Order: sequence, then structure tokens, then C-alpha cells
Amino acid sequence: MFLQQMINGLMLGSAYSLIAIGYTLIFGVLSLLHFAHGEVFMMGAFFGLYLVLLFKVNVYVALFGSMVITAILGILVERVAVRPISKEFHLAPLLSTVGVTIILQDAATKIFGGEQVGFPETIKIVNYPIGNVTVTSVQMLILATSLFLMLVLHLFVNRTRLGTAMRAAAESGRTASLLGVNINGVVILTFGVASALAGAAGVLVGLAFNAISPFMGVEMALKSFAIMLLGGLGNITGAMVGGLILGIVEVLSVAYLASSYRDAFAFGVMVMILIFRPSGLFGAKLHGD
Amino acid sequence: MLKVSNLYAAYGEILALKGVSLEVREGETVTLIGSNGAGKSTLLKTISGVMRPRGGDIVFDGHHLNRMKPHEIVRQGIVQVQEGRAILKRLTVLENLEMGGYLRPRDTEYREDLQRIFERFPILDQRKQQLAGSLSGGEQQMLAIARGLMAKPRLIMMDEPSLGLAPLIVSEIFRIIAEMKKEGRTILLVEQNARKALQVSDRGYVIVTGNIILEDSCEALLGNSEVQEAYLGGRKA
Repeated sequence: MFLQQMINGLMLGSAYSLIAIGYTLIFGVLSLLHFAHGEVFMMGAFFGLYLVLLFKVNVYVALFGSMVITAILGILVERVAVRPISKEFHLAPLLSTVGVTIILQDAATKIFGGEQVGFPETIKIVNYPIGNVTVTSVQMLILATSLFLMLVLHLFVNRTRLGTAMRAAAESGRTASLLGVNINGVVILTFGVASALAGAAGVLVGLAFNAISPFMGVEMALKSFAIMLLGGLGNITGAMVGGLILGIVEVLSVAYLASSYRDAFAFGVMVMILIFRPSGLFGAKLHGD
Repeated sequence: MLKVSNLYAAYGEILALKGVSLEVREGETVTLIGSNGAGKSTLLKTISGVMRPRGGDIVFDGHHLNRMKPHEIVRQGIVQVQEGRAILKRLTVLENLEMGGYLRPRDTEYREDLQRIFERFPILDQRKQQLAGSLSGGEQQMLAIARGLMAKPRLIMMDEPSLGLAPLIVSEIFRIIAEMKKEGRTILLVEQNARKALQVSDRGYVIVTGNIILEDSCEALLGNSEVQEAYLGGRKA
């Protein structure tokens, strides 16, 4: 039973992680809280759903297609709502992304309707009993996909020249540009990657809970934001681990405590951690740039 | 090679450069001396594209740099070693050096340059896997210079490389600059430590409140009584 819950928690948490990583990437490079990131996630779920409904593609194609479309959506958001806004007023770009949140929610309601919808039986649900634990094929897909994406991202950020440039730009845009990095290019890349991860999470969450709606991004965005704080601002590993912790705490509190308090427990644990480690679990040990 | 003519730059409404003209020829080490706030750093920032000029012209090998972004100027072959070192603390020493060579192909020449850097700065070789933030101030300055060299620049601009370092390290930094000069590199140096800077350079400019007031060979400037009075701590006994 406990092991079963841990697996459920990991599954939910890995979806949180994907979104929180996107938040973290964008915050790292632009010091911007991208409010509309949750809506990009929501759009990703719808894109995946409609790829399946309209083109009868399988779930892998839907996942990949949704990532591509959300990447483009994210880059558009940056181009239209972030880049033209003066950075001299710190709140201006933030408010602009709040505006995008509303626009995307309204657009989704208009286009897709305000009802909760779910994926048709696209992948056959098979139960794999492992010992006395049961894992469904959907759960396997979610866990495998998230872990795979996180691994790829980790290798990209830490092992490639472009990834190193991204980290350099996150630490100091000016220094990176004086070393030859095109900062605008890095920003576009960051929005693209972050949004693609959110799109993937949208499809995965849509598959897991069959509850796709224009408002599914709101709660997700809030939680992922909290996860970013929990992991340590701008820290990718922190966002990964933070997401998993939140997912597990949430599922365990539903299983063993009262389900109506699941968010209270989840956020309670986060507040506790932040009281003892204000810079987050993996918060920067170096201060003062 | 680099020709700056009648350059103006400003912070908001306050003019920091008021028609500065300066030239650096290939293979030359040129130093710019002046007191705090005279416009030394502003000039370097304007050349490297961090600040937009309000007027005048910057020409490097026939290309106008005025409207270029910093990364495009790096592509032209100009690298700035920033004031305060500006190393990337959350990256390793090796990653900092790799970022220095960001625009270069990873070919044999690149690997040889990296090897040469490690021979010249053995401390960076020993610490290459450490986070750059864990280095001491002097080591960070060496890393900043080494990172600049990794770009294989045709002109390297150094902004106050000796600032805030212990006297022994300062001498070490100037020894490195002298070595770079001997290799035939083209250097534009900005320094508060006027005496040492003039000793390693060919020519010097004196800048006062955004105007170049004097230009001469370094021997002449070192012998100039006004320069001695204002920047070299009075006449030597």
C-alpha cells in the first residue's frame, strides 16, 4: 500500500517537476516570474488531446507534437508580451504575463469549451503487477517520459555549449554577452524549452487524470511556483526534487490523512522546509555576485 | 586597428564622454589613465557595446561598431576583461574558460590554446573542476584574463585588472600583461595604478572628466610633472 502510494506520488510529482523546471529556467535567465506558464501547460494538454481527436495519432506523436506547438506558443509569448516590455519597471513584464494568463484562458474557453474533457482510450491501460504493487501503463508512460525529459534537459544544460551559455546568461547576462553569447537567442531558446516541458506535462497530466479544462493551469502554476522556491530559486535540480517531494507528500496525505487537506499538507511541508532553509533545498551557497 | 573619434556617451542626462578620440594600432599596448569617474570604464563599455554611444564613431578594422551588440563586437575580435573580474561563479573554472572560447570551433588550435593557458596559469589547471566562485581574488583575476585570451582576441581590453588585489598579486598581474605584450598582442588597458600601467605600455592617454587632455609615449608621460603630480603620487624623491 505504502509503496503503491509512493509510486502514485512520484508520478504526480514528476509532472510538477516538469512545469517547475520551466519556471526555474525562465526565472534563471530573465529573473521573471512567468505567470502564464501554467496556461502554456494547459494549452499543451489541449494540443495533445486535439492531435489525438482530429488526427487519430498515437500518444507518443501527440506528446511530441504538443511539445513542438507549446514551444512555439512560448516563444510567441516572449516575443509579444515580454521582450517589448521595458525591464526598468520590474513589475511590468510580470503584469504582462498575468495578462497573457487571462488571454490564454479565455481563448481556450472559446475554442475548446469550458467543460472538463479527457483523452479517449488512446493507450490501452494494462496493469503490471510488480510484487504487491500495481503500475498501470499510463503511470509507466508518465514516469518514463518525465524522467527521460529531465535527463535530456540535465545533459543539455550541463554538457553542451549552448547549455553552458544558458547557465552563464542566467548568472550574468552582461558577462555572457561580452563573451559572445547572443542573449536574445538564449531567451528564445529558454522559453521554447521551458514551454515544451510544460506542454509535455500537460499531455501527461491529461492522460493521468482525464480532467483537461481551460483552468487546469491555475493550481498547477501556483504549485510549481512554490516548488521553485522550495528547490531554490533558479536551481534546476531543486525544481526536479521539489516536484517529486510535493507529489509524494500530496498523495500520502490523501492516502493516510484527510483528502480535503491535501494542499494544506503539501504547502505546510513547504513552509516548514523554507523556515529551516530559506534559500530552498538546493539554494545557492554562493552569495553576492 | 581601433580608431575612436569624437565619441560621446552618457548615463541618462549626464555626459560621461565628451568627444573622446583615441587610437590603438596593431601590436601596441595603450593605457588610459585617469581618476575615478573620469570616463575610463565608460569608454571601454562603449567600445564593447554595453553602452550605446550618443555620438561619434568607433571603427575597428574598417567596421563601424557603433550600432553593434556586445556579442557581435566579440565576433569582430574585441574582448573586454571586465572591471571586478566578472567571472561566472556558478560555473567551473574550465567552463569559464570554455565560455571564453564560446564563438570558436572546438578544433586543434582551441585545444592547444587551452593547454597553453593551463601551462601559463597552473593554478587554473589544478582547480579546473572547481566552481570559479571558490577561487581567491587574484586567481579570479587570472581566470578573467585567461578567459579573455581563450577568445583569441585581436584586441583585448582590460578594465582595472589590478583593482582590489594584494600588492604581490598586482605585480603578478602586470607581469602577465607584460608577457602578453611581448607576444605581440594588442592591448587597451585602463588602470588606476598609473605608474605600473605606464611601465608596461607603449603609449598612454590621460582622461579628465570625459575629455582626453594628453596623449604621449609612456616615457614622456612618466616624466611629465603634471602627470606625476596628479596620478603618480607626486615626484619621486
